[in-house]
Amino acid sequence: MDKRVIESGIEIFLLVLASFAFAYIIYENDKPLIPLVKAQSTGQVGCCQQLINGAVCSDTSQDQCASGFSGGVLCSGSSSCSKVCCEDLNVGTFDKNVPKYLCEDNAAQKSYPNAACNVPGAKLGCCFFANGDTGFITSGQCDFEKRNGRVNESMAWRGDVSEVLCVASSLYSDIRGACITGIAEDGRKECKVVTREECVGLSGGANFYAGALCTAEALNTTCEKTSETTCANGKDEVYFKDSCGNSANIYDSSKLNNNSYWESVYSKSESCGYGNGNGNSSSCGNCVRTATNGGLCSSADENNFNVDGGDFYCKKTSCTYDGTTYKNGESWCGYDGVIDSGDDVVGSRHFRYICSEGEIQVEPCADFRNQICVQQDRLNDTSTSYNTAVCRTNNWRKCIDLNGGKENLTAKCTAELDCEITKINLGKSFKFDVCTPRYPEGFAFNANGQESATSICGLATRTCVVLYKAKPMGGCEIVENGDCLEARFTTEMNDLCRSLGDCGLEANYIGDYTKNVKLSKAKGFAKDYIAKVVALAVPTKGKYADIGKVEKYIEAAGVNGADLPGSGGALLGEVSSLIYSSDVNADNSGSGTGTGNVISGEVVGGGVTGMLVTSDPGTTFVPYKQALSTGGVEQQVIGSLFNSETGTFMRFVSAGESLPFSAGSGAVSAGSTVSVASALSGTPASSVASTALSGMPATSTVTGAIDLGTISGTGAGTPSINLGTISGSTPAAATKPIAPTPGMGGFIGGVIGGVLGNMIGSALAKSLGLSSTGSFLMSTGMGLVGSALGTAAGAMVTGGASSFAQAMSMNIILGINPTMILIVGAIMVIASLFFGGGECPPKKVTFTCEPWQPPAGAGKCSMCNNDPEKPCSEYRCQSLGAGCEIVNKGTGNEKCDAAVDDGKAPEIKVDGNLIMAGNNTYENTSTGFKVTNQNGGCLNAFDMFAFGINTNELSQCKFDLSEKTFDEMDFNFGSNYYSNNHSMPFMLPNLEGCGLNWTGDLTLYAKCRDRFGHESGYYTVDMCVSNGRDTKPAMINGAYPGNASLISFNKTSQDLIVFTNEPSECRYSSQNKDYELMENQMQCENGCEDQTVLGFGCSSTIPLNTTNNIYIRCKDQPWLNESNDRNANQESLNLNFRKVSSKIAIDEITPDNEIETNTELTNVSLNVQTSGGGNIHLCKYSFSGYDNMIDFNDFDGNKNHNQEFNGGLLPGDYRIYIECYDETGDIARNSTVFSIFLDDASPLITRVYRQGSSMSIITDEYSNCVYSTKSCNYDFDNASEMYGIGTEHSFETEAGKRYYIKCADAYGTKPYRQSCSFGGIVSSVY
Amino acid sequence: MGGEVGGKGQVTIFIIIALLIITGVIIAFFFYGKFDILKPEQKNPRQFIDKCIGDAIMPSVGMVLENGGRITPANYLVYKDKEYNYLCYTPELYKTCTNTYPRLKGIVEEEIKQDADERVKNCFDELKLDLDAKGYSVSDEGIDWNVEVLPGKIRINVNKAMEISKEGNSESFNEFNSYLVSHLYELVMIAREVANQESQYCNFEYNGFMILYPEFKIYRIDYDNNKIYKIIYRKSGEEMDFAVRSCAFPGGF
Repeated sequence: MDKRVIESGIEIFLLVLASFAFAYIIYENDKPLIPLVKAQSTGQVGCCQQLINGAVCSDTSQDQCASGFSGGVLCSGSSSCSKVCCEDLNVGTFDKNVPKYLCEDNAAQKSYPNAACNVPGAKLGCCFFANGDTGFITSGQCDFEKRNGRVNESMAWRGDVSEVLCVASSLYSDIRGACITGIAEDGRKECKVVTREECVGLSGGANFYAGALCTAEALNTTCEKTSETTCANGKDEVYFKDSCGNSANIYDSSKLNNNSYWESVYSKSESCGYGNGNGNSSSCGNCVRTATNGGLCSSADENNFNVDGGDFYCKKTSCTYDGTTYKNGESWCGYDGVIDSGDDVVGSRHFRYICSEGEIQVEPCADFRNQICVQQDRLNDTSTSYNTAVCRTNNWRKCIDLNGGKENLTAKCTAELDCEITKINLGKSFKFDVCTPRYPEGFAFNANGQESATSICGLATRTCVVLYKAKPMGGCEIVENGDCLEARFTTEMNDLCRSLGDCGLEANYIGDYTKNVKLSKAKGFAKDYIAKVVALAVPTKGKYADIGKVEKYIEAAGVNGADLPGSGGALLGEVSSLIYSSDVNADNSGSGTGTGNVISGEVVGGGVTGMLVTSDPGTTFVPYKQALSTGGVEQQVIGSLFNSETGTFMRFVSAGESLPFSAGSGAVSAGSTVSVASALSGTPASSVASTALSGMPATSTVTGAIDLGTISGTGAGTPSINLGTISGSTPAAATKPIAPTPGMGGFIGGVIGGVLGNMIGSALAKSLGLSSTGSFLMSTGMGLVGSALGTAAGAMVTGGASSFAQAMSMNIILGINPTMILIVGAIMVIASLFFGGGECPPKKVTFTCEPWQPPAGAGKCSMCNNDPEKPCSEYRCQSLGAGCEIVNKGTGNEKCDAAVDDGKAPEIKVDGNLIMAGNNTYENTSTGFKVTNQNGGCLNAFDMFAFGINTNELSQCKFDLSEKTFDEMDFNFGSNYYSNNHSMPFMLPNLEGCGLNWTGDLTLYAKCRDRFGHESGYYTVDMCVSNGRDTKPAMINGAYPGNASLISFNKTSQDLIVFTNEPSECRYSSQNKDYELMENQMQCENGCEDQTVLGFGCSSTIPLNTTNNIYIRCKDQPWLNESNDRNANQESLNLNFRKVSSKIAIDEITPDNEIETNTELTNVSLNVQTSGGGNIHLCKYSFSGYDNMIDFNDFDGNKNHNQEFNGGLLPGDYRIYIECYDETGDIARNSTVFSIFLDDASPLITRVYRQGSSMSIITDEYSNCVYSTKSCNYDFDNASEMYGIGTEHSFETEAGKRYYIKCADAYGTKPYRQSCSFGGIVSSVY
Repeated sequence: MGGEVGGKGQVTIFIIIALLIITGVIIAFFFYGKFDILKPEQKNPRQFIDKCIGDAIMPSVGMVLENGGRITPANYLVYKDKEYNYLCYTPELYKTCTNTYPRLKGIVEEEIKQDADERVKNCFDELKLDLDAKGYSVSDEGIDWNVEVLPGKIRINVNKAMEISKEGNSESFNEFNSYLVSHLYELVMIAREVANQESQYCNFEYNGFMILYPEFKIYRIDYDNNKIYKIIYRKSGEEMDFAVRSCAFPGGF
């Protein structure tokens, strides 16, 4: 058999393998499309409290644990490692999310289960210090400060003051003045400029002159004005400094000698440059750090600034970035290129910049675009623009994930944060939507990253089938998906490919692009498109990532101002259905099926040419030209017959092509196969032994005349058309020279004209796309026309006619004159036009989207190091060149540098272990290796095996079925990324199933190229497929759903698909019986192109109302029809589907009533109990309805579900919507309503009465009460306790005394230190 | 004039002056030597101890500031050859960090005490040796001391009974408390706040914090899924450095 034909078949097979590789990954490995990555393997060994490396509470092995090891327990389930709120009893601080064991190892600590510290004592409030400062701290911390003498006893701690107000209180409490602290030796006074509070500490406060400066003449102090300046703690401004070291008024160079400016305190508004930040002013120190031209007191010397007076100035606090000035505190986003709409380029990152007192701080968002930088212009209180930017989680995973389900994809996708629908609409049956991330993620260039990348990019690998139909007047016209043949197909598919991640033809952030797509029958990329892609590496000024509709998530999450959790958890998705659907338009028809006895078959899209059979011992098949590679090139010559007897070639053409060499008027093609004996060899007819290609003898021979031979042809499945014999009319005269006669001249002219006419007719028929009949009529008609004209011309040449008209009326052949032939021919030509509709096979146009690979080489690595505002990272570095790598990794001094180039091509070696693992063996050859079975024989068709090669350096490897350049090779050896190990699954096809009876050898030619572009020579992989009759029945590789699968409660039928290792027909029955007796036939896809890595699929819909237990058997070699050579399974595959006994239900949800709390935020633990359904129950919740639901952070699948709202819920009424589902897809919904009441008031004393010397009180809630006889200003903990619990309390009194009572409720809420409980001041009067 | 002094007289006067100067120098040298023997601290051991303890403590304070609350970082990040102690850490991806230093102030105090313990004790040994050498009789008991990190200062409380006697006179000491001006407390409290917020929100909005509390300057360096915080008290220039690893993202996947 022709090797080319075999190669063609195998190439198709390989394409099929490649197409389904993604599906295989999902199906076979049962892994999520986007795997959750753990930084550290848990290893299932145990939870360690204290690791040797100093970390706490990590799952690790015992040898890595320093203390507190719990074998077999994960830290997530370990009580000692659960997170708690930890109070430091000494200081009064509360720390969140502390491991429980760390909080309980010290008596000075107290733990609370509420890890977010929503506990009463943790509430922050304003603590007023004695010096006028304030602190926003807990009451306990304020007590700590008090113990250290810092607190203003009269004000102490206020829980009703916000942080901003608290800080403002500190600022505005700062009314300064001159404080006389003593008398100097010279009799003048010593003085300090302080607040009144501070003056109290210094001198009792008696000599405080508010608003006066120590340099005021009237005060007669030792302090004098100077030209020196200073900064004040916590202040923006530059101040003059007097000779005593006091800060005087704000520095104003024009007022250095202005005495009145040294008398009293001037406010900011009275000072120079008010309303301006005075950044970099040499004369004015009225700095405002947050102003547009902001400034902050700084040393002039340190900043080499020339100031008019003193040593300090308002150092500019604003920043300029990319031509824009930002105020201090403003933040903004920076990008590497165009963002959004899937346009983020490879290696790019989002950056957040912050203007921090004149310096730009760089905050790179998470690499690989796991975070995006969003920016919003806000209006501050001065109604000027104020930019705020933040890095937030990129929700790209969810977008990819959504493609697993088809229902309402558009609605779901557009409603999802950071997702958008990418629509492909290139034809009636090539239109689909894909949910793509607006900010596509980056892929790591390591093996793990690239494997995932291969999966995700594969979403854009699609085949468009362009359908044609025959035109009535000849030719084909596109009826469907015509745009797939246009440049649109390539560009739109590449845009889709790019939008999925670092895939396809894409540029890196410096604008270097690589093409990581394969195109089959599609138009290539236009230059302007490539230029457009390259231009994406230039950012669009003013364009920022969208903040997105986060409100609905916040609403759904019930979060109060807290950040949204990262979306990293929801990664899993069934993308398989999409993948399977990716070929919905694929039409695998078109394989050559003709079996005519000369040349059969048609070369149609995707088909394989037919086989040549000839019984003539003198003819052999000579390979002439490869017919097709993938998908069929129509009407190509596929070979020729060499007649060893005649020494002539006979040319064969495929369908639709008219015979180029015809003889006389009778030489026409027929059907799809045309052959003709050489008639124009110039050899006398007598010496020509024409050969009938059909193997039949020539039907007539004209002695002494040129033998036109027999023309026969057979179309696909159509009878041969034998036109009979057209003989010359002149008797033979073998020994006598033939004198030219009009008849002879006419005859010769007729032959020549006929041949020419036939050629023209054939060409015309071809161009018009006529059917075989039309082609026959056209070529014959034109042959006749040509023959008529030629006859007339010959007659004229030989003198038989004096004019053309005369010649046309001469009876030259058998009494027929050329005019009649001309008329007949013309009629045939005209008639042929009504036989249009030649073969118009569909055309498959394929776009294969592969992970992006960096350009070879390392010439641009250093570009990663050049921009301090965009620091380099491993991802950025490697995107610049395959030879770039990060050096000094993990030190903070990373640089992108060129890897070592050995200047050599990679060395290739076979990965023997991989082959041996598949129970095969191999032997090295001079150019590679050969794979055989364990006995050294050929491999069985349809047996899956793996083989691979290893390279001594990171390389890309490809292979093909013939020697080609690296870039021309069609198949990746495994994947397209740089690796040392390259392996792939392989299965030798049984081409008999594809209509080919092939058993033989196969050689693959591989090449590898390293990161620097050095390319190896050919490395060959030899193998062969076993000969002999197939005696083994098909093997059922798998079924989906599998045995014992649970089925939805409401389902009445179940779609089932089984895969067999070879083309087969399968049946099922409710009883275990022979294949032939099984009643139900499955639909099997047995075409050569239907093969997947899992095998050939047979599907059916099983009615569940009759049986849930079925048996399946298959019978191989369907092409043998009823032959006894077929093998049926002797054992059944038994599948027993289990329908759930009841639908999943939500039994209980808590909380479902009122919750009383005394904190502003309350931790709520949502608990859901489910029952029924399948084995795995999972739940989602939402505060806003069932549209935007959030997964419980509880994935163990059991029937008790818990979701903690540790961020805390505010007091109010709540409804939480719950949806739970099981593995069958059944869902249950319910909701709960509850209220949170805030009770942060201390108990009220509602009644006081005396019983003898005992005083009794009644409170409005359960309380604990104390009393004092001094004032309300006392410590609750140190006061005298009353008797009683609950709401009734009593204590002994003395007559005539006043009692100050405080009561604390069950939460410990009590009046402030200086206050008594309402109604708590009572007198004991007897 | 008979009262006039001749050339020889002048020489005599110069010689006398020279002798007086020499005598003065000798006397001054004598007295200087006397001062050397009776150092002020020997007269006031409290001053000596105060200074010595201050010198003993300060290196430890510097180390705990540099190493995020620890003398030697336990679980740390290496960045530019410097170790940054993790105050909040998770080895996992996507998850918020665990706050591993509750009671940070207490830990800092313990670390300082442990590190400076020997030096502090040496202060007393040195004092005793010195007093012994000068003829003082010193009797003392064991030392019990601790560090308190307080707002604006560090208080060192030393309980040690010591009696110094010489020539029938004696003086007793029971405690030697001293203060160091430091804003370690404030820095520790902000570090706590950073760790708390990172453990809850995976972020600390230091930019806003600086606007509200301008006396502090905060730098953040994002590095390889870690954050390094540098908190500076502007007035004194004291700086506390530490690291956080919270809500880390996988590298590419």
